[in-house]
Amino acid sequence: MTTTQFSILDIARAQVLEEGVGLTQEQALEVLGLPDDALEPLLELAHEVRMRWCGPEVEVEGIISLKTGGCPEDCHFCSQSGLFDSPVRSAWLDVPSLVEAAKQTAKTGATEFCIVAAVRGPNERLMAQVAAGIAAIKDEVDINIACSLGMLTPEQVEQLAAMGVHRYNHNLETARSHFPNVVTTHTWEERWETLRLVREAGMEVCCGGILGMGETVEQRAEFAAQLAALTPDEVPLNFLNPRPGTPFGDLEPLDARDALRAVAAFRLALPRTVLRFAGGREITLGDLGARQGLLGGINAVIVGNYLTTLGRPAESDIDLLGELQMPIKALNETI
Amino acid sequence: MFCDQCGKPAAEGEHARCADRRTLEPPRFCVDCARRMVVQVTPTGWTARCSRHGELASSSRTPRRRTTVREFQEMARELPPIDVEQWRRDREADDAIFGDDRLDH
Repeated sequence: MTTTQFSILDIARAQVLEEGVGLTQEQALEVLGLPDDALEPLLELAHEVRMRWCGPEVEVEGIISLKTGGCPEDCHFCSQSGLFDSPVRSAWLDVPSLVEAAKQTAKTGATEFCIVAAVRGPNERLMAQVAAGIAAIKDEVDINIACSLGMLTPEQVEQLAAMGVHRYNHNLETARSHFPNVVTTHTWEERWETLRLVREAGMEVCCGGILGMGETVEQRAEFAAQLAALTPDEVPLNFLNPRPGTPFGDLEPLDARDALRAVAAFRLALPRTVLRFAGGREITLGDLGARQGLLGGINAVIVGNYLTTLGRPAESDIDLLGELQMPIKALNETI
Repeated sequence: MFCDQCGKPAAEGEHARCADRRTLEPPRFCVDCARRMVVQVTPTGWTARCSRHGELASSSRTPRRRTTVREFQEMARELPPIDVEQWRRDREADDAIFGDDRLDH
């Protein structure tokens, strides 16, 4: 056992690395409060934990917005809310374009393709579009399909499972105690209920959130613990990219060191979960962020562009995985 | 000309933030008329459509600029010289099919 001057790292090594037991909320808070000179050993430990409990594979995913903008909800970070003065206009993607996007994604080497819609929950028209899109993709592209369509009814959950959606994304976004400061048109508990239905239907649960939305460090630890209690199959970690016209448009991006500390803390709280680098990493961490994250607990990435903003070129991340000797997770394989 | 990020006149005001943003943002406003565009981002590209001025794609990120008369003249100079006799024969052949289209005819 390695001992360091930071006792929480020694505790985490014994508890998380050796036993596979994630950090508690209080322990995660200690990690988030570590000084900058502890960052390097912290990231190394998070990487060891990831390699021990998840392996070297990296899950690579592309995402697409099927229905953009015009959302009736007021998520304060989101440029797609119809309630804010955002430059994002409503758009629908047709099925041939959706299939083309799935092909583009598969060409990058990704094995996951997530279809996203900016809605409170899907209506009949959207469900029909999703069904047609998934059928067309399955005909032409060998890729796992995930969906993120907001809050679902039990019937819609069953329909999506029957369509062959293997994973459903619905982010809790932030700690329960901070959620009312981020969204007022629905509750954290409503989101939790959809996640419960998804799990019951046998789909994999993908649930994460956005860091840097004005939450305290204590609330960041609270969020990590709440996600750990959910035991999701995947946690996408986004960093706030302040969008013009939204209530959070003037917030400063998260400090890069705080972002990396959070990556490591979430890995130590969720040792066996797919932890995905998602939106905002380019803004928060710059080009070096991908490497630091992949060597600090991350084992999944969204490659290429996001829903309404652009990302690093997919080939940059794929080349980096090759350089780090981290194989892309094969289709139908579980990390 | 308008800024494709904020929609304000490109030659007026401060656009440093817009310039920073542009590396990770598709255009949001038409540079010709400042209308908000319908933007679709895909994993490897984007399209942005103005209802008046048509569609841009990521493969053509450079903002459109109208060709000046001088540039048209320079392009015309690059073309091979016109064979006047051939042109006349082609025109007569067309007239035989479609009729004479001269205004004073």
